[in-house]
Amino acid sequence: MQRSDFSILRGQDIAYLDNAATSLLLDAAQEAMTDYECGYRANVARGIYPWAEQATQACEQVRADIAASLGADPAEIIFTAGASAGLDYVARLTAQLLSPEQQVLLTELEHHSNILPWQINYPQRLVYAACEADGSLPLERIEKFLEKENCGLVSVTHASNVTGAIVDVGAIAKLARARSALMVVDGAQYVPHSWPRLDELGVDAYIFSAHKCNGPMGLGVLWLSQELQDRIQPATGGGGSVMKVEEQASSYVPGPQRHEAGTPNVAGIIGLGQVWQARRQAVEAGRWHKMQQRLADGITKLRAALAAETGVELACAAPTGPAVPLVSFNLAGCHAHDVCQVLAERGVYLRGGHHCAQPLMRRLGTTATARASLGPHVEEQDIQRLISALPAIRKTLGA
Amino acid sequence: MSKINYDRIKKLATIGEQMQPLLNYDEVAALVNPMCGDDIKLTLVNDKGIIALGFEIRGCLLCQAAGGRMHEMFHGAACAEVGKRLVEILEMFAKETTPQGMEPFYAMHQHRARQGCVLLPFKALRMIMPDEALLPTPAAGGGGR
Repeated sequence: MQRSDFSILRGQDIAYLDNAATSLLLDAAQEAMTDYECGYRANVARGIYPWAEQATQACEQVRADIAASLGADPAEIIFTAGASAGLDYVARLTAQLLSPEQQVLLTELEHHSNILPWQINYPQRLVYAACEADGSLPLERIEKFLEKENCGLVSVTHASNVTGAIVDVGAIAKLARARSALMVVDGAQYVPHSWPRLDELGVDAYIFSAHKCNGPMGLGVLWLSQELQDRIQPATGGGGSVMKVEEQASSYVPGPQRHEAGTPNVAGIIGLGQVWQARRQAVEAGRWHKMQQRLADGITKLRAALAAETGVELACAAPTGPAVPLVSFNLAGCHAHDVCQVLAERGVYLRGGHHCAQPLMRRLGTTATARASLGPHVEEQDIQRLISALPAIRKTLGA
Repeated sequence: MSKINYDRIKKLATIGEQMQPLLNYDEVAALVNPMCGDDIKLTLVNDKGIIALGFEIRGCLLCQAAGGRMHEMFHGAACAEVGKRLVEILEMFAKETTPQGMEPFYAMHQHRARQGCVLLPFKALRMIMPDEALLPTPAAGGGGR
């Protein structure tokens, strides 16, 4: 994937650096979605006419492709309305398994989407593993929590949307398993840049969204281990999920469809399928690693330029381990929103705010940051454009 | 797209940044902007008008500037005057108007994401103004439920 694969940028004099919030839609995804909407739009898993069969086949192929690339079984791949919806669904599902005295362990790194569903479903039962002032998360802290508390479930982000640091979720999963706690992972920031091996991580549920992977909005992927699926009943009811409906009780279909009540986002699934194909082709052609290396180099360069700029305060030190390509910063005396406003006037699109991670913001000693996050279309000139605009921010805002 | 007049906004923001909550007050309001987590604590001495107004904003330039403008507009103003102008300001983006005194924020009509920054101090004031000061003039023939 490269800049020319995103026609949204054609003729646009902008540097789009807000990929951690949402990424640009791949042209191939848009085209496949249009083909479906204009060529064979039909509901899936129901109709017996050709359009319906074609749509069903297309969706199931995407399910199989995603499963194959992540070391999963297609029966474990569930399409949701997004990562937030996936996390919310898992929070409701797992409530069937935890006893009332069991707690849920989160970390201070979490996006609000991995806090609020647990707050709603497990009120007053949340404990948080604190991270350090630099945003790092010591594993010993999680280990101690698990030893001390009666934790029934651990839910952790795979990569922070503020620091970029990748969390060793495999190690945390081992600790959780040792205490018989369920393990849930929010992969929203990780999957756009990597390929989690779900058969090796040792987790029970893994969630990511399509729109952060250059796919369409309104679609998420929830991987739910077969082992966990065998222990729970669907948490949402609706068409397509049932075998037989009686007046007082019903039986559900086997497989992932039992968790996909109602009409799914068919066009979105088909679009995501194209993204997945493009990703796999990039891997097979040896371009994927080069692209990720280019983005990592870009963020290293940007981080160095920011650190050298008068008045710029990085939100945290560079992650010591692997990271996704983003950097958060502030300009002394300036609010992040004002910084991003001035940058937007110069065609540099960044996110400013708390990034839906207020517990982490408090730990970092700020209320908001500006954040640059890279995606496949980003080139050297985009990063340079941000660097060149930094003095103008100070001049405009009088910092 | 209209350009933000940063020089004007910065001057107003200086006023906002220098404000402090009152130690002795009749009314107090605290409000958070959900989009960014910025907040205001607003205090008021009120006797048929705003005798004294003090606040602290932890927020952006626009929010500080709006606080500064709020102080200039309403410190010492009678309740009826505050009520009338406050309603106009709170509706300015929805109705695409620019009430007198809010000209420095005209450009924000085209920046929807920042409108909450401008309105935060005024929303806080709305919370502690007596309701009777804010009642809109009933429309002729009005009825309904």
